Amino acid sequence: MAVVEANLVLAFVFGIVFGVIAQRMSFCLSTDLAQAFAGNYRRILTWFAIIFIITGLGFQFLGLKAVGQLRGYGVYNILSGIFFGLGIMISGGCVIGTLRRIGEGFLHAIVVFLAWLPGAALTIYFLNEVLKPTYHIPTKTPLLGDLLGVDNMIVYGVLAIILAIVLYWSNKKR
Amino acid sequence: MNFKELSTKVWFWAALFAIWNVFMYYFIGKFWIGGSSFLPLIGFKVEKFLIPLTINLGLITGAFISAVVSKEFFIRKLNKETLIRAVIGGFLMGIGFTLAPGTCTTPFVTGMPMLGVNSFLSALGIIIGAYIGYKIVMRKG
Repeated sequence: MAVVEANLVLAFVFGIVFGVIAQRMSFCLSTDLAQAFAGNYRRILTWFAIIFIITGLGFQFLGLKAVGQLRGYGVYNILSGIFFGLGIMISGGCVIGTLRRIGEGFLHAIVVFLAWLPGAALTIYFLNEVLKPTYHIPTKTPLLGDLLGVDNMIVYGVLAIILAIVLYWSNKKR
Repeated sequence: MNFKELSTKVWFWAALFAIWNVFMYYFIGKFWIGGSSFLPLIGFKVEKFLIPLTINLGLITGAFISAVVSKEFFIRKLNKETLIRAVIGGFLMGIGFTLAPGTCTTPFVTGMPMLGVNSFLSALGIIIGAYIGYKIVMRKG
Protein backbone atom coordinates (compact mmCIF):
# COMPACT_ATOMS: atom_id res chain seq x y z
CA MET A 1 0.00 0.00 0.00
CA ALA A 2 2.82 2.38 0.93
CA VAL A 3 4.55 1.54 -2.37
CA VAL A 4 1.38 2.36 -4.30
CA GLU A 5 1.03 5.68 -2.47
CA ALA A 6 4.68 6.54 -3.08
CA ASN A 7 4.23 5.70 -6.76
CA LEU A 8 1.15 7.92 -6.93
CA VAL A 9 3.12 10.85 -5.51
CA LEU A 10 5.96 10.17 -7.94
CA ALA A 11 3.47 9.82 -10.81
CA PHE A 12 1.99 13.22 -9.96
CA VAL A 13 5.44 14.81 -9.90
CA PHE A 14 6.34 13.19 -13.22
CA GLY A 15 3.04 14.49 -14.58
CA ILE A 16 3.81 18.05 -13.48
CA VAL A 17 7.05 18.01 -15.45
CA PHE A 18 5.19 16.63 -18.50
CA GLY A 19 2.74 19.51 -18.11
CA VAL A 20 5.51 22.11 -18.02
CA ILE A 21 7.16 20.56 -21.10
CA ALA A 22 3.83 20.37 -22.99
CA GLN A 23 2.99 23.98 -22.10
CA ARG A 24 6.38 25.39 -23.06
CA MET A 25 6.40 23.35 -26.27
CA SER A 26 2.75 24.22 -27.07
CA PHE A 27 2.34 20.52 -27.74
CA CYS A 28 -0.69 19.59 -29.85
CA LEU A 29 -0.84 16.76 -32.38
CA SER A 30 -4.01 18.24 -33.88
CA THR A 31 -2.47 21.66 -34.59
CA ASP A 32 0.76 20.15 -35.91
CA LEU A 33 -1.09 17.69 -38.18
CA ALA A 34 -3.23 20.56 -39.53
CA GLN A 35 -0.04 22.50 -40.26
CA ALA A 36 1.42 19.44 -41.99
CA PHE A 37 -1.72 19.10 -44.17
CA ALA A 38 -1.26 22.78 -45.06
CA GLY A 39 2.29 22.00 -46.22
CA ASN A 40 4.29 22.96 -43.12
CA TYR A 41 5.43 19.59 -41.81
CA ARG A 42 8.75 20.63 -40.23
CA ARG A 43 7.49 21.04 -36.66
CA ILE A 44 5.72 17.68 -36.41
CA LEU A 45 8.60 15.96 -38.19
CA THR A 46 11.10 17.51 -35.75
CA TRP A 47 9.40 16.47 -32.53
CA PHE A 48 8.35 13.08 -33.85
CA ALA A 49 11.87 12.23 -35.05
CA ILE A 50 13.47 13.34 -31.77
CA ILE A 51 10.93 11.47 -29.62
CA PHE A 52 11.13 8.37 -31.83
CA ILE A 53 14.92 8.20 -31.63
CA ILE A 54 15.24 8.85 -27.86
CA THR A 55 12.24 6.83 -26.65
CA GLY A 56 13.17 4.02 -29.04
CA LEU A 57 16.66 3.89 -27.54
CA GLY A 58 15.09 3.69 -24.08
CA PHE A 59 12.86 0.85 -25.28
CA GLN A 60 15.74 -1.08 -26.76
CA PHE A 61 17.99 -0.73 -23.72
CA LEU A 62 15.46 -0.86 -20.86
CA GLY A 63 13.10 -3.35 -22.47
CA LEU A 64 9.88 -1.32 -22.24
CA LYS A 65 6.71 -3.18 -23.18
CA ALA A 66 4.77 -1.88 -26.16
CA VAL A 67 1.43 -0.21 -25.48
CA GLY A 68 -1.85 -1.75 -26.54
CA GLN A 69 -0.75 -5.35 -26.29
CA LEU A 70 -4.03 -6.32 -24.63
CA ARG A 71 -5.84 -6.75 -27.92
CA GLY A 72 -2.90 -7.03 -30.26
CA TYR A 73 -3.59 -5.40 -33.58
CA GLY A 74 -6.16 -5.40 -36.31
CA VAL A 75 -8.49 -3.34 -38.46
CA TYR A 76 -10.01 -1.87 -35.32
CA ASN A 77 -6.72 -0.01 -34.70
CA ILE A 78 -7.23 1.87 -37.97
CA LEU A 79 -10.93 2.35 -37.22
CA SER A 80 -10.23 3.74 -33.75
CA GLY A 81 -7.56 5.98 -35.26
CA ILE A 82 -10.07 7.38 -37.77
CA PHE A 83 -12.51 8.20 -34.95
CA PHE A 84 -9.74 9.78 -32.90
CA GLY A 85 -8.25 11.70 -35.85
CA LEU A 86 -11.65 13.11 -36.79
CA GLY A 87 -12.26 14.02 -33.15
CA ILE A 88 -9.00 15.92 -32.66
CA MET A 89 -9.53 18.00 -35.80
CA ILE A 90 -13.13 18.86 -34.92
CA SER A 91 -12.43 19.59 -31.24
CA GLY A 92 -9.13 21.32 -31.98
CA GLY A 93 -6.85 19.38 -29.66
CA CYS A 94 -5.30 15.96 -29.02
CA VAL A 95 -5.15 14.43 -25.52
CA ILE A 96 -1.97 16.23 -24.41
CA GLY A 97 -3.14 19.41 -26.17
CA THR A 98 -6.52 19.32 -24.41
CA LEU A 99 -5.03 18.64 -20.96
CA ARG A 100 -2.45 21.39 -21.51
CA ARG A 101 -5.19 23.85 -22.53
CA ILE A 102 -7.23 23.01 -19.43
CA GLY A 103 -4.18 24.13 -17.42
CA GLU A 104 -3.94 27.27 -19.54
CA GLY A 105 -7.56 28.27 -18.85
CA PHE A 106 -9.37 27.22 -22.03
CA LEU A 107 -12.99 26.49 -21.15
CA HIS A 108 -13.52 24.62 -24.42
CA ALA A 109 -10.81 22.14 -23.38
CA ILE A 110 -12.83 21.31 -20.26
CA VAL A 111 -15.87 20.60 -22.47
CA VAL A 112 -13.75 18.37 -24.76
CA PHE A 113 -12.49 16.51 -21.69
CA LEU A 114 -16.05 15.99 -20.37
CA ALA A 115 -17.21 14.82 -23.82
CA TRP A 116 -14.52 12.09 -23.83
CA LEU A 117 -16.32 10.30 -21.02
CA PRO A 118 -19.65 9.39 -22.74
CA GLY A 119 -17.68 8.41 -25.87
CA ALA A 120 -15.42 6.15 -23.81
CA ALA A 121 -18.41 4.72 -21.89
CA LEU A 122 -20.20 3.91 -25.17
CA THR A 123 -17.19 1.89 -26.30
CA ILE A 124 -16.43 0.19 -23.00
CA TYR A 125 -19.97 -0.80 -22.09
CA PHE A 126 -21.49 -1.37 -25.55
CA LEU A 127 -19.17 -1.41 -28.60
CA ASN A 128 -16.54 -3.61 -26.93
CA GLU A 129 -19.11 -6.34 -26.36
CA VAL A 130 -20.19 -6.18 -29.99
CA LEU A 131 -16.62 -6.16 -31.34
CA LYS A 132 -15.16 -8.71 -28.93
CA PRO A 133 -15.25 -11.61 -31.44
CA THR A 134 -13.09 -9.58 -33.86
CA TYR A 135 -10.29 -8.86 -31.36
CA HIS A 136 -7.14 -10.79 -32.14
CA ILE A 137 -5.30 -11.38 -28.86
CA PRO A 138 -1.74 -12.58 -29.48
CA THR A 139 0.32 -14.43 -26.91
CA LYS A 140 3.33 -12.25 -27.69
CA THR A 141 3.67 -8.45 -27.81
CA PRO A 142 3.16 -7.52 -31.48
CA LEU A 143 6.23 -5.57 -32.52
CA LEU A 144 7.07 -4.54 -36.08
CA GLY A 145 10.26 -6.61 -36.22
CA ASP A 146 8.42 -9.78 -35.12
CA LEU A 147 5.88 -9.25 -37.88
CA LEU A 148 8.60 -8.70 -40.51
CA GLY A 149 10.77 -11.50 -39.18
CA VAL A 150 13.67 -9.09 -38.58
CA ASP A 151 15.42 -8.22 -35.32
CA ASN A 152 13.61 -5.28 -33.67
CA MET A 153 16.90 -3.46 -33.04
CA ILE A 154 17.60 -3.49 -36.79
CA VAL A 155 14.09 -2.24 -37.61
CA TYR A 156 14.46 0.51 -35.02
CA GLY A 157 17.93 1.46 -36.33
CA VAL A 158 16.74 1.67 -39.96
CA LEU A 159 13.68 3.78 -39.05
CA ALA A 160 15.76 6.06 -36.80
CA ILE A 161 18.34 6.62 -39.56
CA ILE A 162 15.60 7.34 -42.14
CA LEU A 163 13.96 9.87 -39.77
CA ALA A 164 17.32 11.50 -38.99
CA ILE A 165 18.10 11.85 -42.72
CA VAL A 166 14.63 13.30 -43.49
CA LEU A 167 14.99 15.73 -40.58
CA TYR A 168 18.47 16.80 -41.74
CA TRP A 169 17.24 17.19 -45.32
CA SER A 170 14.22 19.28 -44.28
CA ASN A 171 16.44 21.57 -42.17
CA LYS A 172 18.93 21.95 -45.00
CA LYS A 173 16.13 22.74 -47.45
CA ARG A 174 14.99 25.49 -45.11
CA MET B 1 23.19 28.96 -27.17
CA ASN B 2 21.71 30.07 -23.83
CA PHE B 3 18.62 28.59 -22.15
CA LYS B 4 16.34 31.36 -23.42
CA GLU B 5 17.22 30.53 -27.03
CA LEU B 6 17.12 26.81 -26.33
CA SER B 7 13.64 27.08 -24.84
CA THR B 8 12.29 28.33 -28.18
CA LYS B 9 13.38 25.14 -29.95
CA VAL B 10 10.83 22.35 -30.50
CA TRP B 11 13.57 19.71 -30.60
CA PHE B 12 14.73 20.71 -27.11
CA TRP B 13 11.33 20.16 -25.51
CA ALA B 14 10.71 17.02 -27.57
CA ALA B 15 14.03 15.61 -26.31
CA LEU B 16 13.08 16.48 -22.72
CA PHE B 17 9.67 14.83 -23.18
CA ALA B 18 11.25 11.63 -24.49
CA ILE B 19 13.98 11.51 -21.83
CA TRP B 20 11.39 12.14 -19.11
CA ASN B 21 9.13 9.38 -20.49
CA VAL B 22 11.96 6.83 -20.40
CA PHE B 23 13.09 8.14 -17.00
CA MET B 24 9.56 7.71 -15.61
CA TYR B 25 9.35 4.13 -16.87
CA TYR B 26 12.68 3.40 -15.19
CA PHE B 27 11.42 4.68 -11.82
CA ILE B 28 7.75 3.74 -11.66
CA GLY B 29 7.37 1.22 -14.47
CA LYS B 30 4.90 3.37 -16.44
CA PHE B 31 5.23 5.51 -19.52
CA TRP B 32 2.91 8.29 -20.58
CA ILE B 33 -0.45 7.15 -21.95
CA GLY B 34 -3.34 9.35 -22.93
CA GLY B 35 -7.07 8.79 -23.14
CA SER B 36 -7.22 5.35 -21.54
CA SER B 37 -5.88 6.86 -18.32
CA PHE B 38 -9.30 8.48 -17.76
CA LEU B 39 -11.24 5.21 -17.83
CA PRO B 40 -11.38 5.12 -13.99
CA LEU B 41 -13.68 8.16 -14.28
CA ILE B 42 -16.31 5.91 -15.89
CA GLY B 43 -15.66 3.13 -13.40
CA PHE B 44 -13.45 0.95 -15.61
CA LYS B 45 -10.33 -0.84 -14.27
CA VAL B 46 -9.67 1.80 -11.63
CA GLU B 47 -6.58 0.12 -10.17
CA LYS B 48 -4.95 -0.49 -13.53
CA PHE B 49 -5.24 3.12 -14.70
CA LEU B 50 -4.83 4.91 -11.38
CA ILE B 51 -1.16 5.82 -11.93
CA PRO B 52 -1.65 6.98 -15.57
CA LEU B 53 -4.62 9.06 -14.36
CA THR B 54 -2.45 10.62 -11.64
CA ILE B 55 0.27 11.40 -14.20
CA ASN B 56 -2.26 13.25 -16.35
CA LEU B 57 -3.71 15.16 -13.40
CA GLY B 58 -0.12 16.20 -12.74
CA LEU B 59 0.16 17.20 -16.42
CA ILE B 60 -2.79 19.60 -16.06
CA THR B 61 -1.24 21.01 -12.87
CA GLY B 62 2.16 21.40 -14.53
CA ALA B 63 0.64 23.19 -17.53
CA PHE B 64 -1.23 25.47 -15.13
CA ILE B 65 1.94 26.31 -13.15
CA SER B 66 3.90 26.91 -16.34
CA ALA B 67 1.13 29.08 -17.82
CA VAL B 68 0.87 31.18 -14.64
CA VAL B 69 4.65 31.62 -14.35
CA SER B 70 4.97 32.61 -18.00
CA LYS B 71 1.90 34.89 -17.72
CA GLU B 72 0.03 32.87 -20.35
CA PHE B 73 -2.85 31.83 -18.11
CA PHE B 74 -6.18 33.38 -19.10
CA ILE B 75 -9.74 32.15 -18.82
CA ARG B 76 -10.75 31.77 -22.47
CA LYS B 77 -14.50 31.69 -22.87
CA LEU B 78 -16.16 29.67 -25.58
CA ASN B 79 -18.83 30.54 -28.12
CA LYS B 80 -21.69 28.35 -29.34
CA GLU B 81 -19.82 26.99 -32.38
CA THR B 82 -16.74 26.10 -30.33
CA LEU B 83 -18.98 24.42 -27.78
CA ILE B 84 -20.64 22.22 -30.42
CA ARG B 85 -17.28 21.32 -31.95
CA ALA B 86 -15.86 20.51 -28.51
CA VAL B 87 -18.76 18.17 -27.70
CA ILE B 88 -18.77 16.34 -31.06
CA GLY B 89 -14.97 16.16 -31.31
CA GLY B 90 -14.52 15.09 -27.71
CA PHE B 91 -17.16 12.37 -28.06
CA LEU B 92 -15.44 10.97 -31.18
CA MET B 93 -12.06 11.08 -29.40
CA GLY B 94 -13.58 9.15 -26.48
CA ILE B 95 -14.76 6.40 -28.83
CA GLY B 96 -11.41 6.38 -30.63
CA PHE B 97 -9.08 6.06 -27.68
CA THR B 98 -11.05 3.25 -26.04
CA LEU B 99 -11.83 1.19 -29.15
CA ALA B 100 -8.19 0.12 -29.35
CA PRO B 101 -5.81 0.68 -26.43
CA GLY B 102 -3.00 3.04 -27.31
CA THR B 103 -4.96 5.01 -29.92
CA CYS B 104 -4.52 8.69 -29.14
CA THR B 105 -1.43 10.87 -28.93
CA THR B 106 0.31 7.77 -27.50
CA PRO B 107 1.32 6.12 -30.82
CA PHE B 108 3.34 9.21 -31.74
CA VAL B 109 5.13 9.69 -28.42
CA THR B 110 5.32 6.15 -27.01
CA GLY B 111 3.90 3.41 -29.25
CA MET B 112 5.77 3.83 -32.54
CA PRO B 113 9.18 4.33 -30.91
CA MET B 114 8.48 0.97 -29.24
CA LEU B 115 7.70 -0.49 -32.67
CA GLY B 116 4.21 -1.56 -31.60
CA VAL B 117 2.39 -2.77 -34.73
CA ASN B 118 -0.90 -1.58 -33.25
CA SER B 119 0.57 1.93 -32.87
CA PHE B 120 1.60 2.10 -36.54
CA LEU B 121 -1.93 1.04 -37.54
CA SER B 122 -3.51 3.51 -35.11
CA ALA B 123 -1.26 6.33 -36.38
CA LEU B 124 -2.32 5.51 -39.95
CA GLY B 125 -5.97 5.70 -38.90
CA ILE B 126 -5.37 8.96 -37.01
CA ILE B 127 -3.74 10.58 -40.07
CA ILE B 128 -6.65 9.44 -42.29
CA GLY B 129 -9.26 10.64 -39.77
CA ALA B 130 -7.43 13.90 -39.12
CA TYR B 131 -7.18 14.60 -42.86
CA ILE B 132 -10.92 14.06 -43.28
CA GLY B 133 -11.55 16.26 -40.21
CA TYR B 134 -9.17 18.91 -41.54
CA LYS B 135 -11.06 19.04 -44.86
CA ILE B 136 -14.40 19.32 -43.02
CA VAL B 137 -13.14 22.10 -40.74
CA MET B 138 -11.54 24.01 -43.64
CA ARG B 139 -14.74 23.76 -45.70
CA LYS B 140 -16.76 25.14 -42.81
CA GLY B 141 -14.21 27.96 -42.53
